[in-house]
Amino acid sequence: MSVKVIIPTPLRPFAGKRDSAEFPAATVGEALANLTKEFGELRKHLFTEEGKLRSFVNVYLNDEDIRYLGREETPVKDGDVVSIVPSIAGGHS
Amino acid sequence: MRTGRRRILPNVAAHCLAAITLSAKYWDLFPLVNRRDDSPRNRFSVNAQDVLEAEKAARQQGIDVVGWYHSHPDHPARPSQFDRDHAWPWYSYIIVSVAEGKPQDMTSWRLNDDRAEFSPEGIDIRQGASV
Repeated sequence: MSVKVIIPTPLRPFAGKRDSAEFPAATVGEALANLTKEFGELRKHLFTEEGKLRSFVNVYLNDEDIRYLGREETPVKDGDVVSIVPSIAGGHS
Repeated sequence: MRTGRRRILPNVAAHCLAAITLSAKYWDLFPLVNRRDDSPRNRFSVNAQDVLEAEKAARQQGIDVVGWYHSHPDHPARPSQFDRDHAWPWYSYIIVSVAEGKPQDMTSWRLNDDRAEFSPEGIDIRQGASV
């Protein structure tokens, strides 16, 4: 079972300039794990040091935010598309 | 940029800066909505759907989203720890300090690849630019 992961423009320099990559996976979490296994430099921009998705990093399975599905445990099927979209946040204390 | 920022003051303004990535012949700004309702004066948040809409609007003009700008009301135009925690490399992050409702300094920053800190970028304001 293979899913396509869309790599956002700012992170393509850390993924061999690829705009997408396909990985075998049973869940969204496995797809992301395989993505960061192949492109290790991506990991720190997606996950905290504790291994959790950064709060501003949103992941979609096809057109659905995985927070409203099963988060990283969301099952995937062959041909699904996983997209990574940032929220933009900032300001001062 | 100026019009949009003043429309949202005194809260933090957030705008998407879109431009051709390979040349600066054309650029545009897409006003964004600050989704923070708990501390909108000093923090901003633009949700993923709004980001997707900004990217789609840019694509329709044949340009790319290359950065974002926001204001720091009554605070220097320097990125905060909060900014760094919510940034990716590659994007340009423009910050405008605002004092008593009036824009002061404008700076631009890029997050280093190791996420340890931002590096300042030069800003070249061309004659005729509507910044």
